[in-house]
Amino acid sequence: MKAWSFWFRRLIASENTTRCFSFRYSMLPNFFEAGFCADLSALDEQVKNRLVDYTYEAGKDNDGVLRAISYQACPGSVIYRRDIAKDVFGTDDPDEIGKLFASFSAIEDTAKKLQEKGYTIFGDTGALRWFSNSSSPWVNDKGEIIVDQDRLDYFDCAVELYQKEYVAFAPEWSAAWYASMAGPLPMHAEWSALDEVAGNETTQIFSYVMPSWGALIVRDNAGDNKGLYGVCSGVCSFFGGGTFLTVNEYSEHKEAAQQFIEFCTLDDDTARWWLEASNGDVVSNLAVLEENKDYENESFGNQKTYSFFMGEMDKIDYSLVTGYDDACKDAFGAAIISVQKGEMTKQEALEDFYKVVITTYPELSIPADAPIYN
Amino acid sequence: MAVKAKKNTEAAAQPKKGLIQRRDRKGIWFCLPFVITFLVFNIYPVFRTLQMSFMSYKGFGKETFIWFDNYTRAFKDSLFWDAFLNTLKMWGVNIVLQLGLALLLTIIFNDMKYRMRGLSIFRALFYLPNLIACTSVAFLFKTLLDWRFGTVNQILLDAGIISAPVNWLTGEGLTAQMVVGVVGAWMWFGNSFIMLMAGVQGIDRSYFEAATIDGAGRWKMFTKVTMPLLRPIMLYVAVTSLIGGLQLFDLPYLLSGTKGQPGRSLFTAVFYLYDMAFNKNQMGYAAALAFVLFLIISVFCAIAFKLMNRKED
Repeated sequence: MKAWSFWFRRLIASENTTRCFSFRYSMLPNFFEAGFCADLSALDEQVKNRLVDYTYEAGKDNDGVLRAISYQACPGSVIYRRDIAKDVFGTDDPDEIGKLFASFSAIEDTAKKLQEKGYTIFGDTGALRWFSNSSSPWVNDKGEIIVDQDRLDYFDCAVELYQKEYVAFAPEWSAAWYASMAGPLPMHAEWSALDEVAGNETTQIFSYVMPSWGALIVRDNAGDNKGLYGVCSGVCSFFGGGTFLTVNEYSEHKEAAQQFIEFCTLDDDTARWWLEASNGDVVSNLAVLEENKDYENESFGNQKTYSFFMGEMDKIDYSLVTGYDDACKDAFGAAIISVQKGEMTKQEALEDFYKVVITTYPELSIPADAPIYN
Repeated sequence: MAVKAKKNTEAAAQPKKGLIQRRDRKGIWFCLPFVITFLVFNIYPVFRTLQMSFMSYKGFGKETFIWFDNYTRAFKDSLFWDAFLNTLKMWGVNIVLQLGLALLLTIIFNDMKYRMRGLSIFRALFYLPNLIACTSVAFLFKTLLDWRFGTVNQILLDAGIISAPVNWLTGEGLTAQMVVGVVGAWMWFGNSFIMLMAGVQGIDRSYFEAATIDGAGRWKMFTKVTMPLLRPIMLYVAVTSLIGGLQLFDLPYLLSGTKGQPGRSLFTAVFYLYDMAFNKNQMGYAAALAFVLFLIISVFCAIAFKLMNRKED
């Protein structure tokens, strides 16, 4: 949550004419707590029955009162290059490729095989962060910070991929990362302009781990590679982002605002229109998704992408989400970087991770079986 | 005469109601914009921050009064003290270079032997970095110090001074801190130079003449005449630099790409405070940190005053 959103929150509270507003998923808890979002319980049953389950759960506050609704669903996937898959693994079948990403150890093996043929598995190791909620929440009911075996595997995998140069060192949103979707890119481009690193050794990125909106980014930047992509499952199902709509608690026209939100999120025709207008976004409306589940997406080698994303959404476990996730992920990511760059040992980095989280949130504790005590 | 004098005395003693009162009122109107701005943007935030420092408050929602819990937490917060230590390191490098360079230039420009010309041009040139926005300075140095394509590494490599590119900003934490100190010194030495020059030029020339007659050399003149008489200005420069330096934020924030890396080494006390307030939504705690920092700066200023005035005492 950046500084601008703090001022935005103040603006909402003071502006009585704003009837409803939209915001990112990550802002939901703060907006709920600030009391800006009106009670939408009247739509609860409809949302529960007609929209994707995790979006319904995300739209509820701590007391279980529905306060925000999304027209979107953003399940995650591994977006991979079919031509590279055939070249290295002899198949581009999503189920088979999914096995190559089924665990962190499988990812390490996959990365090694790709490197032998001159490819890199990801832009950079940040792609792995999406799999950090694989089996446990970051903070359990007792307020303990959880670093289970899956998270340790994620840690080791990120370090290995970095140190063995299995990735291209092109971070998400960098010029090189965008360029990689259409073809070869220079290694170690980092945040440089492409012409600055034109002399570097080149590679091709095999896959991108992103929520469903990421598939649209890949499609739009694929250039001549359009149609050469596929989507498959990764280590675990996840979701990321998404736009939510809510009624301003301070509005004098809550009823009209609620009707508008109902129209935007629960109306089948609106969902159909958005599906077409956005040219491939995943909506939260289950009936409309069901209608389109056999749609063959030519940008993804005629794969039935809606059907795939529906399957991924079913596997999302919203109980693993906590209000501490962003802070924990950031601190864990920083710990990984420290080891990748050789600034710390794994033990020191994990101790530092706990120190950062505990200092930021003194109400949390380190469990007796934490890996730093082993 | 006596009656007239008495009348004058009475008139002076009585408040002048008419003209002067009206003038007073006009004066109030002239002062009012400043007073209002000062109250709204200086005084109110200070007291509001003080109030928040006793609250558990996220910047929105409920405020809960928690007495001194935020302050207790601040004194135990190792990350805050790490950040404070980082600030001291960066400021330390900065002040040594800034004052050292400013003093050296002041000596050169004041030495009769060198007879330096174009002082006003040099003064403007030295002051120029002060006028450039910190964002631009950060961007400039980020480009110059880029470890792969930066001009600095290219020059050092070509000159054979280094054999491999130095990772100035994203490698070792200490190197990055030194870089921030040096860039800060480059930005602010012009200001110190102007202050010191004004101080030297304010010294009565007769002291120097007397010292010359007594046979004092340039070093003696500098250490026994210039430096003691410059002490008040030095104190002013050091204290203002300390106050500003301990609040260092923008330069490390921008040079570290807003993350404080490598390894939190560019996390300063104010950077940490900002992170707590606006990224972690712990507004009450951040307010307490602000007041802890205020106390620390006050103590440091008191020490600086004491040290600089020690001889005079």
